[in-house]
Parts: sequence; C-alpha cells; structure tokens
Amino acid sequence: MAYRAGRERQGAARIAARIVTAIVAGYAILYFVSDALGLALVSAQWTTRADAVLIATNLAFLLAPAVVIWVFAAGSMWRAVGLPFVVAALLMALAGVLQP
Amino acid sequence: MMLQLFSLYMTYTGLSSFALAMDKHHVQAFGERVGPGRTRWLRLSGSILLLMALGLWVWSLDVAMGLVSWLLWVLPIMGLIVAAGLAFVPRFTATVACRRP
Amino acid sequence: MKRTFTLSMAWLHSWAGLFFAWLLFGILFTGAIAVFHAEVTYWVTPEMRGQVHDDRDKAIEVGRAYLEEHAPDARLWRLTLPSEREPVVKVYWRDEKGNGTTRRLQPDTGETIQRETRGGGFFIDYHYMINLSRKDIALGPVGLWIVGMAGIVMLVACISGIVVHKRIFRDLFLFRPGASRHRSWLDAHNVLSVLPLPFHIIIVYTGLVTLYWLYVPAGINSLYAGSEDAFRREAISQHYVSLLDAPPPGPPAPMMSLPAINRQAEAQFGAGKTAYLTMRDPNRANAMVEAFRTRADRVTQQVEQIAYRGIDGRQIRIVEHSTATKIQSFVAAIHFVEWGGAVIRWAYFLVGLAAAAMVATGLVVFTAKRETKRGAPPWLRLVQAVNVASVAGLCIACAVFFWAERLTPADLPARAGVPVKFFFLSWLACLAHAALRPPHCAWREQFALAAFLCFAAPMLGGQGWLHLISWDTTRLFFDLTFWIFGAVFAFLFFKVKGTPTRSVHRHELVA
Repeated sequence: MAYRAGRERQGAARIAARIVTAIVAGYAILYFVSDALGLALVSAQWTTRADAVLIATNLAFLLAPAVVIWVFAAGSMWRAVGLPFVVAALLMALAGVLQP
Repeated sequence: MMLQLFSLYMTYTGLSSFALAMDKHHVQAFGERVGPGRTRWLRLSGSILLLMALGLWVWSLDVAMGLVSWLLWVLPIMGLIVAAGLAFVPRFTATVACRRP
Repeated sequence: MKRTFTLSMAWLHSWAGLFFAWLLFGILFTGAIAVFHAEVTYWVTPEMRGQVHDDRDKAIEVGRAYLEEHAPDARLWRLTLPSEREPVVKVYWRDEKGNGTTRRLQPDTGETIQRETRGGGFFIDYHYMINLSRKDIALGPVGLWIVGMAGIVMLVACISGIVVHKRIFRDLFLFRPGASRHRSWLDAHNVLSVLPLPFHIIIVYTGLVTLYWLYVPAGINSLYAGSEDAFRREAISQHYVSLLDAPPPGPPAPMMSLPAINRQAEAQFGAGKTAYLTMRDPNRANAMVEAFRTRADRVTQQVEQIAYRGIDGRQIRIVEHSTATKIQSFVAAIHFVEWGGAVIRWAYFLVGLAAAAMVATGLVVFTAKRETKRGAPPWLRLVQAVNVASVAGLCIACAVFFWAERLTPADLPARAGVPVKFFFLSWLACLAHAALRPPHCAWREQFALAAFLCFAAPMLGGQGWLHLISWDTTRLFFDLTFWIFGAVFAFLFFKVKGTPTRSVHRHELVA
C-alpha cells in the first residue's frame, strides 16, 4: 500500500510539473518567439515596427497549442519539462541579443 | 435572399449525399447497404452540389463575406441538421435531399 | 506521458477539458449572446425607439449641443451617429483625469435617456474577461489572462480531440439518441465538435489574435519601450486623437459646422456610412475632427479614418493601413462579426450555441463515463455540482441579468452595476443549490427555473404587449428567442430522468 501511495504521489508530482511547464514555459516560448521574431523583422527592415509586432505575435500564437501538446505527449520528464524550459531560455537569450 | 435559401438547400443535399454514401446511414434511411457504384455517384454529386452551393452563396454576398460565412456557419449548421435528421427521421432526411434507394 | 500518443491526448482532452469547460461554457454562451450585443442593449432600453432616423445632420447637432453644454472643457469628445442596430446618438467625453462618460440621446429631440445600462456590453465583457478588468484587480487584466488561457486550452482540446476521435470522417454524421446514455451523449459531443470544427478553431484563434498585444506585450516592451499608447497610435491609429503628447489647447475659436464636415467624410465613405466622429480640443484653434467609417458592410475591423481641421474643415490626413494591418483587420472582423446583416449574425449565434453545447455535452460525457464504473470516485460528486452550476447555473444567471434589467428602476443612480451583481449572486446561488441537491435533481430544478425565467422575461413590465402593438420586429424576435430558449430548457427538464445510479448518490450524501 505504501509503495502504491508513493507511486501515486510521484505521479501527481509529475503531472503537476507538466502543468506548470505548460503554463510557464508555454507562455515564455510564446513571449520570446514573438519578441525575437519581431526584433528580427525590424532589424532586417522587412516591415515597419508596428507590423513586425503584429506579424510576430500572430504567428507565435500558432505555436502555443503545439507547445502544450508537446509537454503532455512527451515521454520522459526531461523531454516534457526540461526541454521546453531550455528552449524558452534560448529564445530569451536570442531576443536579448537582438534588442536595439 | 432566394439565392441564399437555394444555396442552403444545396448545401444540405450535398452533405446528405456524403452521409448517405456511408453504409451506416444508407441503411438507416433505406434499409439496405450502398453498392460501390452508388457510393461513387453519391460522393461525386455531393461534391458538385457543395461547390455549386458555395458558388451561389459567394455570388449572393461578396467573396470575403461569402467564403467566411459559408465555411464557418452554412456548412456546420446544415451538417448538424443532416446529423439530427438522420438520427430521428432518416427516411425523411433522404427524401428532402431528393435521394431514393 | 501515457503509453501512446493517443492515450496521452485522451488524458489531456478529458482533464484539461474538464477544468476549462467550466469556464468555457460561460465564455461561449455569452459570446453567442454578444453577437447581438446591440440588440440586447436595444431590448433592455425601452426608451430607444426603432424608427430609422434619416436626419443625420440633426443627430450631429443634437450631440454637439449636449457636449457643448455638459463638457465644454473636455479635451476629447466622441459622437456616435445612430445606426440601424442602435438608433440613438451616443456622446462620450473624457475629463482631465482620463475618466470617460457616456450618454445616450434621442436623435430627433436630443432628450437624454436616463437609464444607465451596460446592456450588451456586459456580455462582451464577460466573454473576453469574465468581467474582471484592471479596475477590479490592480495586478492587471486578470480576467483577460484567464480567458486567454481558456482559449489556448480549447485549441488544445480541439487538436487532442481530433487525435482521439479516430473515425472522424466515418462518424461525421453519427448520432444515436436511442443508444446507451454514455454513447448517445458521446455521439452528440462528437457531432457538435467535428461538424463545426473549422468554426471552433477559427473563432478561438481569431479571438486570441484580435487583442494580441494585450496577451503578449513582447513587442511593446522591446520596440516601444513599454508604451502601449505609442504602439496603439502606430498600429491601430485609434489614439491619433489621444491626448498623449498632444499640444496644449489653443485659444478658443468656433468650430466649423460638424454636419458639413460629416458630409465631406461621407463623400468619401458613402452616404450615411460614418459611424462616429471624434473631436480633440473642440472649440479651440487647434481643434481636430476625425470621422470613422462604419463596419457594417465589410469584413474589416479597422476602418477608414479621415481627420479634418476643426475651424475650417480642411482635410489633414487619411489613415493608410499597411497590408499586415489589413489582414489582421480581416481576421479580427471574422471574430467580431459586425458585418453581413441579421442573417450572418443569427448564423454565428447558432454555431456559437453549438460550441457551448459541445462543451456542455463534453462535461456530461465525463461524468457519465465515470458514473457507470463500480464505485464512482468521491470527487465525482463535486465535479457534478460544478457541472450543473457552470451550465444550467450560467444560463440562469444570464436570464436573471435580463430580469434585473427589466425590474431595476430607470432612474436609480449607479444603476448599471445592479444587474451585474444579480448575475453573479444568482450564479453563486446555483452553485450552492447544486452542491446541496443530488445531481439529477439539481439539473432538473435548475433547468426548470431557467425555463420559467425565459418564458416570463418578455412579459415583465408589460413590455411584451408594447412590442406587439408597436410591431417592433427586433424586440419581437428577441422575445421569441426567449421563448425558444425556454422551450429548450423545458425539454431538457423533461429529458433529465432519474437513473439507477441516483440511489448511489443518496448514499454518498448520507455517508
């Protein structure tokens, strides 16, 4: 019984970790993708400032559900929780580099 | 207005053709399975009816309004009507769509 | 997460679906009602009369006279001309502290309409931010964030639903009302989800990207130094007449006749196509009047705007929208549907209700599947209570809103918030009721109440007769819709029968 209770608690913790990841890393990816993409569009001078924000954010929204699905579909905890946070951190760095 | 009503009716017949092309619903409506030739005919005529319905709808409005509204509501609402019809009055649904066994 | 992708998606669909369905039913149901927001405001304000007012010059003069009398020193005025859906003149002004005031006037006599109401605007506000704005919670637009999250989850549910529902084309029209309870509810859920699937996905996506800068202020923070105003001026041109770095007001100088300026604008927009006029620094030397075109005949949310100098009507600028803005404007308009006329609005209303029904049937499937297992889990009782409250309770709350609008006296000060309070109080009461009664009784009783409220609503205050006598078709259709809803709730009341598992719940209550 104790063993099963332990396994269930571990299960709950893993599910909680995925939920937190989906929300936090999911939003972070959404935020930094639109950040980096918008900055890239502006520095490449392909569009105006306002248009860059518009295009980048609208496209980033397409990603958001995909990230959530990934977090819950991925097999190991590393792929489900670790990877999204790493990706978010990389995007944050990219956006930081592109800042004017 | 008349054009739009006719387009709605054509969407209904097109969608019910697709439904009746399936064994499950053909049996519901006519009591017998659908043969392969009939399946092809139902699907082909269904596609033509849907395309004509879309064309008429877009013609009665404009391209933007027409495409958006046909895709987002004409199709779903007529689809729901066909589904409900097949569930409760399958024979009548088929008759209204001018389909006989 | 589970053994296979499909199993993971099934788990995600059920659990994310459960928690967010409680929110989403309300969002989708109020969203469907919000399609008719102008008609809601019209119905709750009997003072509005339905005759088409062709004299736009008179309407403008009426509005201007009111603004000059009540807000001569305000730096920003807005005058909304009467339209087919809202036959009143709306005047708005902003004072030095930035607080806005709106008043509605009769277009022919200029008489003020005393009755303050949020009308259809309440349903819009609930739909996109559950009525929790920055004014209620200082942290930020929390309601907006919650609805945004619910939107993403709905997209996730649509995608996971497609993954789970393998026989998507073969079962496209499959609905077996006579099958086992669980099976027929699942059929209904599938049919309501798959047939309108393009609608669900497109409506949610367009809703999220309409206010993209509020959800993801990345661009504003990086490229506009955090100034939302500066961004809106460039992107949406809405605040061209904003007071942000506006020059100080010049010396007083009489403004040119507004109807004359409007005629200039309508020469370019089309006759009768001006929606509203904004005036910055009215009756000053640097006054500016900007005319905005109507949205009613095009699928576009951003409209043509022309700015004129106030003192002599000389055209200063026409706003040019970039291609990206035009595309986003089209996308937003798909969500807002202020175009296309009554037929399109009814269509959106029906499909929106289908979306709400999809969510409700999903909730029933969730509990039906777990009720039949031996020994339903103890938390199922709680889930069932919240189900009843989020579906039937929310419908009751909406009906109570209309009742409160009818019954609250027109001249009560701060009247606009009263029906909103009743909305939330009645919803809480429904939650309490659902927690105390066994699930099937809770469903039946709440549907019965909803049916009663809907049947009686048109007759409150004797208004129903007035609608009939004056043959006010908009209001009559509204009354008819109330009765149709009443009939639907009554049908659901009769349909919810006691089931063998009811006795199980009684025992759980006692234990």
